[in-house]
Amino acid sequence: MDYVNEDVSARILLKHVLNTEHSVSPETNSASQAALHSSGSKIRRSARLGCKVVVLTPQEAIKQSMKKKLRESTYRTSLQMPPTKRRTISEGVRKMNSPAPATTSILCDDDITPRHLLRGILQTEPSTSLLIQDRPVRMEPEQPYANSSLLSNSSSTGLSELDLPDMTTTVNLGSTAKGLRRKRPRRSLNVNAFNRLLESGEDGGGGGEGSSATEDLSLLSSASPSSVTFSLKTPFVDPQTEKRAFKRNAPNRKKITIEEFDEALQNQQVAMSGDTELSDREDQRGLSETVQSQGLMLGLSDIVDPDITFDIITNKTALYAQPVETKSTFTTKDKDTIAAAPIKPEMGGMKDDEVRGQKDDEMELDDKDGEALMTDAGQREDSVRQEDFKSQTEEVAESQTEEEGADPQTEEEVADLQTEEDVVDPQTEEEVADPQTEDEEVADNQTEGEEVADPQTEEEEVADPQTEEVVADPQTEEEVVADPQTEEEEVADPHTEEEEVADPHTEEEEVADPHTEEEEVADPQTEEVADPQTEEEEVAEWKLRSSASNEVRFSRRDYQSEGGVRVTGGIAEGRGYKSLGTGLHPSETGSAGRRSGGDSADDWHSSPEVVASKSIHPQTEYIGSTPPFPQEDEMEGSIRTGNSPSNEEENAVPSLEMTGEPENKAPESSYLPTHPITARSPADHEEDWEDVEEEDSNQSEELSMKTPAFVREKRNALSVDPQNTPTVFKGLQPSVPVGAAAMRKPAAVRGKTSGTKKDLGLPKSYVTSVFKHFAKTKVSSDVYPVLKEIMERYFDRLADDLEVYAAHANRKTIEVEDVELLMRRQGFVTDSMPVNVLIEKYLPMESRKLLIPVATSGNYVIPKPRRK
Amino acid sequence: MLKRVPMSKLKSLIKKKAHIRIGTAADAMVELNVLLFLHSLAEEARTKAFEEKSATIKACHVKAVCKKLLKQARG
Repeated sequence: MDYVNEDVSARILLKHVLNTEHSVSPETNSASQAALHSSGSKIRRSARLGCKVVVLTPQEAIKQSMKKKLRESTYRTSLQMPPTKRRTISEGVRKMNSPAPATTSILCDDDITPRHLLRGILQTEPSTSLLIQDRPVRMEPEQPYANSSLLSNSSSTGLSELDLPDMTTTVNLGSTAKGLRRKRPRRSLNVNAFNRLLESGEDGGGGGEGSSATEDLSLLSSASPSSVTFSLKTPFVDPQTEKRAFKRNAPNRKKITIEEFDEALQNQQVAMSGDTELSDREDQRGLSETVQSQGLMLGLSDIVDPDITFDIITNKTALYAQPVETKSTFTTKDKDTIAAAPIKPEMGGMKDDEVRGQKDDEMELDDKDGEALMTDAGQREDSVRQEDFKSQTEEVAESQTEEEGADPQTEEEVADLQTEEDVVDPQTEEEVADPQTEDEEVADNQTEGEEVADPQTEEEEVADPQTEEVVADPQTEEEVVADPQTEEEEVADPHTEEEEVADPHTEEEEVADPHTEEEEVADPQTEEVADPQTEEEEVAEWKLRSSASNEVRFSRRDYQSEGGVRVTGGIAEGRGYKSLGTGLHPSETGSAGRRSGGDSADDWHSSPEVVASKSIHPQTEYIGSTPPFPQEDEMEGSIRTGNSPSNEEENAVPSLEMTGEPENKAPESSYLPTHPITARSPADHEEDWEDVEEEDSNQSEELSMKTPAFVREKRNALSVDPQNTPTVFKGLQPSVPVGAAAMRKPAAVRGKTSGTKKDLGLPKSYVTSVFKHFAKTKVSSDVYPVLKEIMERYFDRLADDLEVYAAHANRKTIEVEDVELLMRRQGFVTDSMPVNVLIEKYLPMESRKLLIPVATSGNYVIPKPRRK
Repeated sequence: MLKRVPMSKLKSLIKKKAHIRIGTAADAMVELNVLLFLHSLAEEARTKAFEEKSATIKACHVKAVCKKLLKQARG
């Protein structure tokens, strides 16, 4: 059968048709078009064809036959294809099928005469031909045969015949189509070609284009292979656009976006890094800034991170810097003193020149002391002290003009103000009086002060030079002694207000200083007695101050001690001052003060308290004079003494210091007193506090509150979590020395700490032992701090939860069931693990008895079962 | 267990934190709870130490474990 023949191709058929028929039937066109539009189902076509067969039976029949033949041919061709190519073939077949029907439809839809159809077919055939180019050739020759056969058949037979052959032809066509489908894979290429064609534009004939277009079109949708295909709805542009979209837009976009993005990212990073670095560098900014920078820098290099962390660290350190500052202040004080020394001499020189030439040395010393004091004070409260200093300087200037004695006083005051709050003006004045006779001493003091300053520890040195300077300033005579004394005094005298603030600071310094100073100072001077005393006082003051830094009371002490020191230096203030004061009166103000300080120190030995109290009075005079220092002529001891009482408070502190001083004076006791002095100082301070007016205490408290706030916190933290993270340890360090001082603190002070210590909770031994037992392996010791902290946190949470449970049960007491519920929620108690088992497992007998009723003899149950 | 923790201490601790009263027996229960917690903590720490191939439990082990455990034992 021709139909079955593979050779029968649409082409051949068409050729036959063309040859046979030349007419064109519009109906057929419409029918063909409809058929074309349709997916090309044979059924439809056949139906349509069937309908139209009536009109154009022969033509339609021919077309149908041709289509069928096409399909068959394609199918056959596909079948003929080696099995390996089946896939492609199948694809191609499918594709072919579509084109086959398309072709067939084309055949049908061809409005144009079969001739056009044939042409189209011919055109499309080669393009749609099988992969093998031979195919189309074969197809072509086949077609004519098919056509001829079809024609012949069709002519001979009726519709039915045609139908059958149609079917067959369709099958054939399908086969052919399948064969054609092989070209499908090519279609992609063809698509490109099609696009090109499309792009190139339609040509009238669109032969090649038509073929390609038809192919594509057939793929996309039914379309007439002929030029009409162009007219087909299939968007010509679509593939193009699609291609463009795929080819150009998407990849371009992606590339650009990626690249751009990267670039942008990098730029951002750079920008951000720059910004963040800047912010980091500032460091001073709060953590918030660093955090922000962090957020910005998230994507940034790690380089920034360390900065952040560094910033954080630095920021954090800032928190702790304060306590360290105290120490550092000490250290810095040394530097300051050293630095101040050169400066001071200038200042002093200025003043000295103005006031007195004799007291150049003193002035220098004073300057130094003042500087030292200033430095210390500055560290503590730069603003305050500076201001004071300034005021003092002014005052000093005034005083200078007034009297020579006033000069040293002013200087003292200046130094006092600078260093530690209120320097006892009267003291300084007294010291000033002394300086006259103690030029040498002054020199010695200077040296001593220097020596003292140098060798002493940072703290002490700082304190010493300050005190020394203070002492030196006020009195050339008593420079040696006065310096430390004056420093102390200055510390104590100048301002009650300042004292409070500076007290804790100065106290520390003084306390520290006196210690070392004592030893060192004791040697050099004839007035070593005075010096060591002052030094001791200073040391005591320093110690006191250091200790007080942590404690409010310390501030008071410093306050007092400072005053005491000053008193001793210039005027016997406070307890020890009494003798000093007395001594001062008879002797020159300056020297007298010192000596009296020494004497008073001796007295202090005996009864520091009493002496202090007594000395306070005379010292108060001095003290009282010191405040009004610039204004009054405190050269006179009386004045000072008069001031002293007013400065009792101040003196109280310095008195304590003074006790140290007098002791210092006594070479014998110079060494001893340091400790007992310091030891006593707290006690004295306590007493002094009692003696001291409440105002001062209050003030001192307030002031002390300020500075040691963080220290106190640290202390508390220490007590609470001694083994906490290193951050706490930082606090530990400064607190350690303080702790030592704290030891001497009154019980009341300790009470505070003890109260806070309670936070610790479980005893360490218990916790550690339990842990060890459970661990079954060795446990390092450094675990326990961590353990403690964990336990603490756990306890907090435990208590909270229990409280909530009890409240939930409308109870005010935590009961067993609360804890049981907690354990259940924690997962310790499960359905398979009842509480009692746990109790039995873990708890010792005593506890167990409480929980589990134990029946004992006599029908006595322990514990008594609760009745609900 | 090995050592008895003074009940008074426990009680005071709870009282301090809870601000409400605590019954007698509850003290023992709390102790039990503490023991259990410590036990689990020790176990976890031990496991972690083994991971680190260290026969001794070190602080770092415990620290690493504690957070997770505290969260778990939240109730």
